[in-house]
Amino acid sequence: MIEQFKTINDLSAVIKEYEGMLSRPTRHLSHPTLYRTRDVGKKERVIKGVRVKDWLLSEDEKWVLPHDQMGLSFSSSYKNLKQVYKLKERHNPGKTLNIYWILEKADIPPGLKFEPDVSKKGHYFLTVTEQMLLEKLVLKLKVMAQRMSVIKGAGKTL
Amino acid sequence: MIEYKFKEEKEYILHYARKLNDVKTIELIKAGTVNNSDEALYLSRFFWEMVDSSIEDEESGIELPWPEGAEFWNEKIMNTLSGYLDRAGYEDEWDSVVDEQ
Repeated sequence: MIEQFKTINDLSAVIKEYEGMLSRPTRHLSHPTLYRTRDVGKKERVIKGVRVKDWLLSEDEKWVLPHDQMGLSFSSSYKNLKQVYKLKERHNPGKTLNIYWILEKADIPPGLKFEPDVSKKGHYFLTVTEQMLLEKLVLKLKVMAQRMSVIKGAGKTL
Repeated sequence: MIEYKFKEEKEYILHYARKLNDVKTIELIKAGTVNNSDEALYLSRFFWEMVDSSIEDEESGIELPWPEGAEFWNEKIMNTLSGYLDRAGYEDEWDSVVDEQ
């Protein structure tokens, strides 16, 4: 597990070295793949940790439907990570942010797949490839979170 | 052309452009294109002004017309605008403004 970097070059070099490294910044104590109510807007809807607007859900919101451009956001490039991090930092002044990452080719739970954002290089979606119950997606996201590594308090390196 | 994943993204940008009395951004967004480096820089800087304004609104308890919070929309719009500027050949302009932040 990589826990800390001292310079911007350290982190940039690691992202280049680990081809297929996908990362996302989160507030300290937040879950890497699920949301708490405090992580989102007051009226924003979250079901069992899944932010409703991120995914294509069935009308009754019990099922998650496949869509290759909807899902959880990840950065595949240092440049994309840097701007996402700066935005999150702006929204969370004074808070510690961590960067969680995983390798694209790692054992991602079946039924999940990383897809590149067709309109933004360096940005990926973690998508579902088959219709599944929302509860099943939550379980898969928890398994995935356990397989992710963390860079703690990466602000100074970006 | 700027391509939005959600129609609310365009509404959100125009909401803040009007709030900030930014006629130039309104024109750029309605046209859906930037035509030169200066316009690319202008739109890139507007993005971060919009972010700051939306954070001020949240801190003041001003609710957005949409259920999702400002952070959600700002992230979506960041991907939309930076993706468009990349494709239009203004990646350096966007990146230079990110580095100013």
